[in-house]
Amino acid sequence: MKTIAFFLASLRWQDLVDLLLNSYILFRLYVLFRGTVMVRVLTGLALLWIAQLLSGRLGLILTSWVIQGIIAAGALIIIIVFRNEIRSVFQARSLRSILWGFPRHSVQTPIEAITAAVYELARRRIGALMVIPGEKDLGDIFQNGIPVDARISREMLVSIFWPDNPVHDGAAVLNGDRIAQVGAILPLSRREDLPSHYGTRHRAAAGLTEQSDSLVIVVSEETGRVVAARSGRLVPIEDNLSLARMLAEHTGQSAPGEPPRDERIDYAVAGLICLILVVGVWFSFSRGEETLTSLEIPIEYLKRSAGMEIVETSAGAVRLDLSGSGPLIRALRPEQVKVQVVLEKMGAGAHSIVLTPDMVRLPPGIGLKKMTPTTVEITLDMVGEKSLPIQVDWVGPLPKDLRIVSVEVDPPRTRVVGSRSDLSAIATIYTEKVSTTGIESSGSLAIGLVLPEGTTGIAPGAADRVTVHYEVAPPTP
Amino acid sequence: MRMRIIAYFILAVIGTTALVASTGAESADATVDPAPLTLVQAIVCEQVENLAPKNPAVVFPLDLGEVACFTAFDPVPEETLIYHQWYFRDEPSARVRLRLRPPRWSSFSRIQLRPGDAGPWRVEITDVDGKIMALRRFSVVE
Repeated sequence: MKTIAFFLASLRWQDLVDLLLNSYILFRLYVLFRGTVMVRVLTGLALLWIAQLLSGRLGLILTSWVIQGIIAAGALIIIIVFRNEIRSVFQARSLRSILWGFPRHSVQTPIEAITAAVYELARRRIGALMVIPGEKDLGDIFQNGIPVDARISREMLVSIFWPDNPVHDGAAVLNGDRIAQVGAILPLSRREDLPSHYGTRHRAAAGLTEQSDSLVIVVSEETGRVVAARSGRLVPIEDNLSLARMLAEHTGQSAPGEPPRDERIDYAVAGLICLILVVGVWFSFSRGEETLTSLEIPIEYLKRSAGMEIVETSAGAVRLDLSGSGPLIRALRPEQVKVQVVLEKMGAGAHSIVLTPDMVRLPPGIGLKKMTPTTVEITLDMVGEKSLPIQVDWVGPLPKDLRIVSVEVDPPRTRVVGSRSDLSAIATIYTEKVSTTGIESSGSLAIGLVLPEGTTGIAPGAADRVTVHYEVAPPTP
Repeated sequence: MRMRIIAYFILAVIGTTALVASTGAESADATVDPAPLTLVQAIVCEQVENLAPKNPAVVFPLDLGEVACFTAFDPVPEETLIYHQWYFRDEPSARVRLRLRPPRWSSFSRIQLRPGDAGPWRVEITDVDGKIMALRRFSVVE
């Protein structure tokens, strides 16, 4: 529970955008390719990828490599094999429908009309060949049909195969609720094992289904029997209910009498699965491997009382041992981490402050493992001002025949600012070094002042430079 | 009787006047204090010869070996002590106690210069109560 709470608290807004965006992309791919074989193949690839991860974790190096190779080859094969499906999805749709829209409710194939037509043709012993395409594009297999684009009805189907109709010998291609083509010449099967009583129509049905995922219904002119061909296999259909069930299964519709499927539920479930998948992948990438790092972060002291100064601290910085996912740790910059100690209501004097994790500000996704030191000693004092006499800091060497007998500093004093305890120990402020080299006679020079330790600066308006007037005299013999 | 009362009154007035006069005389004697201890000379110099400072200066070479502080007091109303307190860069370095005797007195102290003593110095002359009577600043250079 604590882990989940930490995980939720450590989520950045970028992570949420990452998750939602990728879930949506995956969901859109599902929507676009829904119902095609590609979804199943991609699912298979996803399972392979999970297997590769697991084998990698278990140390099965060879298995992991093999699966990795299969995935790489599979991805390439998918693009080649399903190029037509991919092309049709992206060509047939506008940008808006690719990014946002949902395909309209799939057109329902009128199963009852087809079943009725098939059994009427069978009763009348009229030969017929009907192709109900699957997901695979048939354009590569045959292209010789006559486009019709008529709505499917029992009467229309019967009339197409009615003897003396010019197109009654070929196959009718039924796409959704339309008769797409008639008079189509299908490729014949070369199989030797087909029963001898099967004629050209049966051989054509077997030939097409060997090369595609279509369902082909054959009505025998001689016997009036109905045979369905799928995946190269010819299955006799005993009655209209069996045919209706087979058609429903092939088109993915509910069979007559069964309740229709709600597409919204399908989409909702698919969306949820996409989100779970992406969260899983994201988690394995960004959280899977914990990385450690150490940073030296200066302590920030906040909300000091007015006029209060930090005189001394036992530690100016703390060492933080941090953990997080590799990408987050690599992207971590020291300025993103802060250690803040609030000095509110602390009076002058020495204080011992225990450093706690809530004083450490970390970017989301980064955890604190250890902090060194855990206690910091701090001395506070009030800021004060002090007037100090100025003394010249002479440096030699002093020429042998030269004697500096008097010095006057203008102004003789200045004021400095610092903590009161420090100021109490300071009695003099010195000038910068003044060299005696080159001095031959009395004169004056301008020089800056050196701030003593413990002071924070020269008081506003006070002198930070002075003029030194000096007088020299030869040594008394 | 009446004459006696007048005589008593005159005597009381005379007595009171005499008493007041004698008290006033005592007060006048108390304000006439002897002159306080006064520092008339405080000099930092190379050395002291025959109770006189030689080569007073504010900058001394380290190889001189020593620096002296000469002080003269006039008057010295009574026997007392003074101190010469030497500071190197604001840090106390030496404290020399000197005895003064009436009616006037000169005295001096000196410090030996060692390697590392180059820098700013000061010497404070304080009375027995620690009150600073004079302060002299000087430097020792390499």
